[in-house]
Amino acid sequence: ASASASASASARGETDTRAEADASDRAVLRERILRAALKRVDEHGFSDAAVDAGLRDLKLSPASRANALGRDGSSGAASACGPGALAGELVGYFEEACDAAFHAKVVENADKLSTLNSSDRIEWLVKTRLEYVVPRLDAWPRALATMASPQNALATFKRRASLADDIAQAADIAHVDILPAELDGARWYAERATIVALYAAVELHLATDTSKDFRKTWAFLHARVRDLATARTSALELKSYVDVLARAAGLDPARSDVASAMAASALRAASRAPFAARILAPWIAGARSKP
Amino acid sequence: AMLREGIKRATQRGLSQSQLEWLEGNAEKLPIEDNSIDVYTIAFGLRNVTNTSAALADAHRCLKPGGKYMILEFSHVESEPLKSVYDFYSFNVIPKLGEIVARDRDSYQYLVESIRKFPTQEKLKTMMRDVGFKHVTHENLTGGMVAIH
Repeated sequence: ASASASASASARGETDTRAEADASDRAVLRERILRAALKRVDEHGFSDAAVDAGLRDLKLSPASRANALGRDGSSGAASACGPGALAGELVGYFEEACDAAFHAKVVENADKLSTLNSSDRIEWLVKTRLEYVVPRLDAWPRALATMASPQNALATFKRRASLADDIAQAADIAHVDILPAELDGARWYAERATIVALYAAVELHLATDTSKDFRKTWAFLHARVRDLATARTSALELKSYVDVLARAAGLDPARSDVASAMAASALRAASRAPFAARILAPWIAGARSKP
Repeated sequence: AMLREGIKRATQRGLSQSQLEWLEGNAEKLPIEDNSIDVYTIAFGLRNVTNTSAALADAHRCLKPGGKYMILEFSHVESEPLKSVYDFYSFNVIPKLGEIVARDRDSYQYLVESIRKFPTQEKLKTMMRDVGFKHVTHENLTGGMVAIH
């Protein structure tokens, strides 16, 4: 009984290492296919056709399409390869490469960043990250649509959230805003959400910008970052104003802190409305002027 | 005879003669060029090939790089209590049914014995890898009575 137990244990060990080897094989193959497909994006955009062209370049049979997804073939993988799944995978691969390059650049420029104030930092970070998209700008509107589609939306959201986190940490805004501990958690989410919204707005503008060197987009970015700074300053001013009033009225200082912080957040939320309108306006105008 | 059956079914489903090509050959040495096919499927046929490895090697030869090989075949049930029930049914009921319904006990006895002789799921995967296939996986159906490799 013990002999067969150890035999099956070693067999399982062998199948485990086999499974690992298979998994890394799959990852390598996925990389090869997607890299080849990326070279074909200029002709075909971020689409299934680009992946098919990549496969042809590698002299692999089209039966290998699902290998671009890098998934284990054993559970109905055919259904996972629906229209647009490959396109989504390709865009995801490109975005991840950009995110990685961006991260390296941020680390490289840490010294330069520390000399800027937080608004300028955010501006530099968003601009630098978007510049990675510029070489593929022709294909970008379709890529954005692919990223927003239901089957890809979750992966896109995760990537964007991670990017926002990267930017927020590099921008180090936390030191500027001093909120009571109770609201700190909410502020963490608000920061990331604001960055995601800002990035998305500028990205949309970039995708439809025809000005020289994308001057208009960078001006748009600059203006939006100023907006955020103004909203924050006014919120802080309001907070201290409410604080002074509360203390004068003899209210419990802890409660007045929370009250003033809440008022500040309410003001910020209210200021979002014109901000949101200004984000959408150029995009809508741009969309309307298209034939 | 099987080819005639295949042609009949294809025409029933509305596939014209020009869309499909029908060949007869030896699975260990198919009359198909190297690196010329995208997909190779074999359903309940591999067990009947004398030299399994040779059939696998020939499949590898015919397929293009990146092509897919898919095997559907009876396989092994490992976990109790299904295994005991399956064994009992295989050795006691199936040959008896063969005797009564088809008046051919021996063929059905051969059937259940050849199923037991066929390589296990893992062994077949190893054989496939030995011949050169990559990304080899399998999926059990009905607890392993049938498997797709």
